[in-house]
Amino acid sequence: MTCVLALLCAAAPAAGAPLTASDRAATRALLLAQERLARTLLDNLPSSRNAVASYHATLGQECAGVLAGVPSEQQLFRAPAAGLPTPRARGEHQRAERQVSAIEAEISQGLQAAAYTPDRAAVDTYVAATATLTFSDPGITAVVRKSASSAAEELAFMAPGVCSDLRFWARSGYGSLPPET
Amino acid sequence: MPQLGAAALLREESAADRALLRRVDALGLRFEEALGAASESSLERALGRPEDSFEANQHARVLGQGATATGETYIVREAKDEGLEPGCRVWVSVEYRTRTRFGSTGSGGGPMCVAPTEHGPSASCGETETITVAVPARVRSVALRLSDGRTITSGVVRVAPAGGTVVGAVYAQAIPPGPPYAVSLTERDRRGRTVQVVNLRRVGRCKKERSVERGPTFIPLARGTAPGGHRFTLQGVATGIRGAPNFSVTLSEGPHAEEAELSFASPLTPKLFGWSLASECPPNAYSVIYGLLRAPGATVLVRTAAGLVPLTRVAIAPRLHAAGPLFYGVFAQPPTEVLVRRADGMTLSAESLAATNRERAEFCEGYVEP
Repeated sequence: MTCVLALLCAAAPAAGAPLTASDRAATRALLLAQERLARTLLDNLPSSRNAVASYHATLGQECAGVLAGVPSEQQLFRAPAAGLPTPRARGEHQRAERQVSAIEAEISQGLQAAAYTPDRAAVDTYVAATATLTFSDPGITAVVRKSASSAAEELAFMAPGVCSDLRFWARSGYGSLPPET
Repeated sequence: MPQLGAAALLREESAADRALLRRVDALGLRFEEALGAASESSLERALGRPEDSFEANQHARVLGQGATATGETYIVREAKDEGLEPGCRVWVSVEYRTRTRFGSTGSGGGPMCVAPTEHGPSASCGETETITVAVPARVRSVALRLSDGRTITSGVVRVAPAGGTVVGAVYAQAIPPGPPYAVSLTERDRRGRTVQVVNLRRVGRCKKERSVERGPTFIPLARGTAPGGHRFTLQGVATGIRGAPNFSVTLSEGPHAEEAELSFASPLTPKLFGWSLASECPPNAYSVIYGLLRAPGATVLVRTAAGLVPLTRVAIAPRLHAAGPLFYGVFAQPPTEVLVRRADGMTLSAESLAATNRERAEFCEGYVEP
């Protein structure tokens, strides 16, 4: 699972910028909100596991075996007997990599959305607590606010078409994805 | 999980806040580990996707594990012999795992032949120096001697194929980068008798990395929108290692850009204009050509279907020690020639892009969905 609030990773004040009392208060509020959210996520863990298992069972049943023909790494990047792969082969390989990556992301997003289903209220509380925090560095304020809205967006993600996307890809001989993927 | 980034905010904060941050990190780690990533790969198996080689290795039979002197754990697993050199009866892989505040990270070398044990020790440099070697079946412990005279003695992982007898063993250890350096391994049997001594002086030494003295510093140089609506950014990267400044230019595209990028660079030999060309394949094809111009006062032009077009010049501050100003251009169709001209119009260099463009076209034939 990726971290819901990964955008916080980018929050860094300008080197040497003095911290104000307001910065300290906002930082404290941010950390306390994070701690509350983390504790709630842990409390909800059994429900999260159930939600993941349910998503797993539904998609696994609905789309069982649909990826059985996905070309392997060796098949994708079979180099000629001598020399380097041709430019065309490299293009095909890169296309396949992009498609596999898109499919993996879709599956992962679906699982993540399922895992956090029991946590929506806690995330809403977190977003409400952090979305209005202000730091003297406007860059940090922007990143914190962006992370809050991204967390809400991630949890709002619904993956209605994962199975149909997988079937589309399989029907094309694993050559084309639906345009919106 | 909300576990990162706030560390930067807390750079100069109170001990109480740092303690709170550690608690948040620990909670986040517990959550991530409890939920795990296993569900993703097991779902892919249910959907029929075969394991890739990395996953297959992770699920291979574990033969044993242990801890190193520097606190890593290592796991010895069976490895498949597909495509490996013939003559080896048993292959294993050794993964070293380091626990950080953000979770565990793993690293390991390629498969290692245990029976017969013809290969010598291998060392790998990183945060620590790992030493891995296949040893004979009768070896039970190994004493690692360091250049300061100290000795670290530890056990081995004995290797037995499923349903078979022990055919060999694996020794794995890690030490901080030297000095002191690893000098030798003394392999001992169960009674403590020396089986053999392996000299490590020829394996290579890991030295403590000297810190990068400056940078990297990223300097936005140009940004724009390419044909098809893709945003692009050119940024300078300034570094200074051991006092020697270095400046390069990279192309970073916008967040909604396609991943399909084909990059070419002119030969490494210093040229008047060391260009790079990045292209996006159809349906939203475009090309960005950019580079630093070494010839003071000159300009760069490219030949396109519309004729000769000058590239845009971006000055770079002298303190950044760039080879010269940046010149760049964005085109729906890739240019066919790059020319450097002096202010008086004299052509200093002309370079055809025909071969590069042929390669790009072939690449895109493979890349574009059928």
